[in-house]
Amino acid sequence: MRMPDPDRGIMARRGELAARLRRIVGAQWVLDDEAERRPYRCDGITAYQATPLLVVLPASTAEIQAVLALCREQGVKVVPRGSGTSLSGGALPLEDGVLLVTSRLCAIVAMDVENRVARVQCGVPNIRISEAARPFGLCYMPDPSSQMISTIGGNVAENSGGVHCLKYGMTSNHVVGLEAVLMSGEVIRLGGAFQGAADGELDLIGLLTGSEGLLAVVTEITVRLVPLPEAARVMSMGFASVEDACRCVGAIIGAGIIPAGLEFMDRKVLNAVASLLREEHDPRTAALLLCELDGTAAEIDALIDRVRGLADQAGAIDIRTSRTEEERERIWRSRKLAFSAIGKMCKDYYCTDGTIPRNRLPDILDRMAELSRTYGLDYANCFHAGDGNLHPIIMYDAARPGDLDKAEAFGADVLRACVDMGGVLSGEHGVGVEKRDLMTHQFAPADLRQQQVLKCAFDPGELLNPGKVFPTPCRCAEFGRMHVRGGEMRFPDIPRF
Amino acid sequence: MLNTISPAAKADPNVALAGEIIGACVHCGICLSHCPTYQVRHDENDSPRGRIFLMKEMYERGGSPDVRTVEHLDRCLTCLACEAICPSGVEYSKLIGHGREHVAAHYRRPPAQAALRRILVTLLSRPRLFRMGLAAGRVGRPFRALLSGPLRAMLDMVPTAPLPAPSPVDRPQIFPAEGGRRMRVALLAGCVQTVLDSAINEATIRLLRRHGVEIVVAAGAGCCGAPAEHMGDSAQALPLVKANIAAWLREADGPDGLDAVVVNASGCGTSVKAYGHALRLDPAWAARAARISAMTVDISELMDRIGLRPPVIRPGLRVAYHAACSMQHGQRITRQPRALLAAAGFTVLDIPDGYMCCGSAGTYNLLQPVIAGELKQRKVAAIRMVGAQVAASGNIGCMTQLADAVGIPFVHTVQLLDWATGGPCPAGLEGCFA
Amino acid sequence: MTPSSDPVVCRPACADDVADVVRAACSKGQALEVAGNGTRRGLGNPVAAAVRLELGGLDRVHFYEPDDLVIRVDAGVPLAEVERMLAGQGQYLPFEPPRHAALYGGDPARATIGGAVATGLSGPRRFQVGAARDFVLGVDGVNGQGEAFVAGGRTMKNVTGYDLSKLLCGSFGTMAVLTTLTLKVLPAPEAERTMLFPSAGLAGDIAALAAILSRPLAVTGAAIVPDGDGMAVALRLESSAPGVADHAARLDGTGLPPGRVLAAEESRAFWARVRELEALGAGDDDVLWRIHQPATRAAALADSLRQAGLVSSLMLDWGGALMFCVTPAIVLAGLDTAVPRLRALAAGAGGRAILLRAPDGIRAAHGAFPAPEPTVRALAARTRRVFDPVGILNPGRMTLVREGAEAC
Repeated sequence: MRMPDPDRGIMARRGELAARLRRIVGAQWVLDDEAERRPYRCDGITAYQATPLLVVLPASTAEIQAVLALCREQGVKVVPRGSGTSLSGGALPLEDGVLLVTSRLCAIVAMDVENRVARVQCGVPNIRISEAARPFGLCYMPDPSSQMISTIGGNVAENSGGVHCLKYGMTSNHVVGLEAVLMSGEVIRLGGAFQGAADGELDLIGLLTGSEGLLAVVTEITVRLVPLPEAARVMSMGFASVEDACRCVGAIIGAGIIPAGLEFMDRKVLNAVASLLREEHDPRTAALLLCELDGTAAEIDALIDRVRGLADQAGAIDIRTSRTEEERERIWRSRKLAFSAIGKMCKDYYCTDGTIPRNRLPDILDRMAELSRTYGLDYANCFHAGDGNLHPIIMYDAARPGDLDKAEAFGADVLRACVDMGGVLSGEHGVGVEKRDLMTHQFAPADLRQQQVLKCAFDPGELLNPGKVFPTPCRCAEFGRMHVRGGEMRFPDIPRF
Repeated sequence: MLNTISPAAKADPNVALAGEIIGACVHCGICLSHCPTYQVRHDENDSPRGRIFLMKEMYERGGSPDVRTVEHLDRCLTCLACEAICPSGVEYSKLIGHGREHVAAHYRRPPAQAALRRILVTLLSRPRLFRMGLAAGRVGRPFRALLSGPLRAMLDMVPTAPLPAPSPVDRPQIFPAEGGRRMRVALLAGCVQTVLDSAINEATIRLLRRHGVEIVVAAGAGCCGAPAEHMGDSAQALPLVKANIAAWLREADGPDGLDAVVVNASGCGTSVKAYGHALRLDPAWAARAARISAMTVDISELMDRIGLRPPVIRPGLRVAYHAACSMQHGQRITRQPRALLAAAGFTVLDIPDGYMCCGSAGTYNLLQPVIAGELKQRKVAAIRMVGAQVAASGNIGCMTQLADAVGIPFVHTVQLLDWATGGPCPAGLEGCFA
Repeated sequence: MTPSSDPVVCRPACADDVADVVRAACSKGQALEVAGNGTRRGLGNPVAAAVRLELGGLDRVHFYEPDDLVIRVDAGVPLAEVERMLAGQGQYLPFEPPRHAALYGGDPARATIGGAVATGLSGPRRFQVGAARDFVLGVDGVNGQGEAFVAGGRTMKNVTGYDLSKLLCGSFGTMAVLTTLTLKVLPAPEAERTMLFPSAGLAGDIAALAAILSRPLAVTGAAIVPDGDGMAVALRLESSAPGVADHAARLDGTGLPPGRVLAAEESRAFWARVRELEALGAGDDDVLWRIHQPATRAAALADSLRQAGLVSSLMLDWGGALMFCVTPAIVLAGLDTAVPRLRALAAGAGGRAILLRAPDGIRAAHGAFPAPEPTVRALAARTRRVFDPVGILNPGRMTLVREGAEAC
């Protein structure tokens, strides 16, 4: 993955920059020793690595302001990072850039039970919010599988999803207020501590959520809390063919049922999990659907009856429904272990993240089988079926020369196929560096430019997380020249790529 | 994680194993959520994932590890919460263990640091020396304000109460079962524990005898080797390990045999259960070590297997059960201690964030007093929150770390079990039960 | 309530023509008033423009796939038409978009889906299911230079690039002209039931609602509305038929007095009246406010507004986080500080007061929307400028153009 060429001049000034940054955050919170910078070389995706120029761990919004202001003044690039769990390389460092780590901003500032919101610092791990809300019968609903450690700031940057977002929405549906620092060092406060606080203003919260750290460093977030569902039960439904399982997904959604989660696992995943748990897997089952239903007991019962009927019609060969919390956890365990189980089966795997219209599921699965033959790499499927969000798991051996490239090419072809079927490159992992160069497959130049020009409003120097999301820089300077001449110009020199 | 450790380096089977373990890590970061040092420091370098990366680099580069790498490896508590939570099954305990051996073999510590570590290993693994050291420490205590760092931490650890006299139970001998022998076990009398709190072994022996178990304190057995092993000092640790194996196998292969090796300090138990791994490459000892590890149980596992007799008194106290890391993560024993306490009539209360280490971690509180102090403070606050009348744990290290600060008596789980089934009331609890 | 001289209306029939119009206007630096069918032109600040670009002519339904819960329509399709299509498949727009056209003398039947998205208005269900912006999956638009672009997509989950759809939703046509919208729809609940309880005073009512809303109940409406001489607390439950009964039974234990029950049709009609503010009983010349504040401070704010003699009637929605109130025309006439005073009181309660309806002169003087803090205001201005560098799209509709201030 090609990143912008590092600026040797900046790299030569590492020592001086470290000294100035230490004055802001304290000596021990600037890492300039190479050994200590290297563990920050990658985030949750190890295929992309770079040693950051410096690692800075500020402890407050004020320190972040000062760090950004200094970096802007010095023309130094900045990459924000929470816990480093991005699966698209969103926090991949730059050799000539400061890695701004937000993990020390980890206070839950306020739990406002009456207004059902929580105000938290950006470095708070997602699950901590729900833990703090649980005594009040509330929770923070978005639950990316990294929720134990991924920070809420990172969740906002990536607009994270999770199993429950089918029914309850993504991160952006749960953010009511933000505090963020612009590259200029200015602090902006958006929305507030109640629902609707930002209504009637330009939706900058909506824009910043999912902007992958390119526009501002989010420092404080106010999220909506919702009541914990009264009860939840999960159905495990086995099918003799992938087509039957896909048909069942369509039937459930088409019948007007929005489950709390609807997950798909194919035979390879089921075999891997079974071998990890030293259990037997029913060889007739080619695909398994997990369907979680929540609400009151009566509501769940009614839904289970309906889903069972639909599954029967779709040709389910085995249907089980949890009766106790233990059974529910046992059924979910296979899904939760899926990725580690696959990890045990192969040397390395590469998991990507496209989304398609739900009714194209059989088509994309056919295409994956075809690509697997072309590339000679095995793959498995375990994904959020209910919202058409695929996570193909491509197996390879990083030690075998050329294998990683093949795996990446396979993944890219799957994502292109997603786009061709009316879908998108990323449902929840973000574009980062991983899918950056595929953006031109989804967006025409004019569409991309319309996104990129926002950089000129937020970070005209293009110092914040450059090289991510977009395959080319924005060139705000050119945009500026154009708009100065505003009124009288025709359109000869609109910046083109 | 892909690594490029050279084939030459991998000729060392421990390095080869490290390479494999590193390969199993997918860098997902889940371990950070359960790592106490990361919770305190928030620096990737002080997280399991970061240390795995540091060790990868250390092996890839070869030569002497750099000072920063050593510093961050030293900061690991070896609490193994990371290993328990890891979705990919990364065997961190083996990785950090061999990593420390590598550091010990290839890194020259500054003289003062090296000396301190030598003193600790020597003191902690030899009960008589340890007793003398504590006596000296009491003399030095008034001067603690003049000191800082580990020395001050060591003085702070010195109990203010007079030390109990050496207990007669810790000498090699046999304690017959009461009312017919169901089982015969060897008890690891231990080293530190015999000095700091002899009541624990006494309660263990009473409890076991009452349940029809014959106990042997085997001649030749002593410290389990953990203090040296934690510092990567296998040269010091292995002779102790072998002495224990030999002593217990003598009993096991003797006329009366042995059903189990019982350990009542989970820190030591974790080490003994890993003897098989520690000696796997030693053809003379591998099979014997594996045999001992396989027959080793924590006292709570054994009591759970035997089944607790109905309590003769019902103190009905609210007990805050502190799960030692070596117990819950190292040995994955979580259910049994709670179940036994409940069976003995106690109300067991879980401590919030129970996965977090209290900072004791063997010699950690002596070598890393700042982080250990922070973790202690957090644990004490969590224990105080649950509103218990007594705190219990299965590990002497945690008890020593926390007892003076929790504001309630802190005892070993077996002391409560012993009391409920007919033993004496543990010291400090007399007033709690009318 | 229209600008003094009526603008020339330009009503293209396809997106290409929209782009041509904007491009031409941009080259001349000529402002455009962007509208759907112009039924809600009184919402936001008055726009001074010689040309009004109406999107009502773009009325194609591109596709509706009920089994994928998605519909794609041109901006000019009437909202009522979209809702009728969805209802035919048992589906709906969960954010319950208000028409509000009647407030401005417009015909509610002509209010467009594009207008619903551009104004970002959301109805009573918003506090539980999300706002308009949460249901916009993708948009096609034309920027201020007449360039057509596409943003977002048609899938439920999409984090590919910046979420321009959200940014444009609620931007009142000040950044781009929306030509086509892709919306997420959901199955409509099978059953609904509304319960009306006599008010026990706003503070008590809001506390009771907060307690109810902290429980896992299928409450999708929680309003406090004028009822006869007093006020009534209205709760709406939506779920399957057995679910509604289940949730209603659970409400019994919450300490509310016995209430009046409105069944399906009655319930629907009731919430339509709430949504359209009919319960306020405002006169045609009265000023209407929409105030967003924390629910916990709404009662005190209502008291202070009444004590100050600034409002004659009010109602609350979203469990108390949204207040609508009426400032009688006569109060306004006699008190030229009424607007800033009311805004100051709202701000004091952590809230923001929007002039939902007021004479042009009042909105032109005070702004329909309270000004954000300077850094945000400047950032919003820069954000608009990169979409509309010349500043020709609905200039000033959201932020007043003042001398010396940045036009946006």
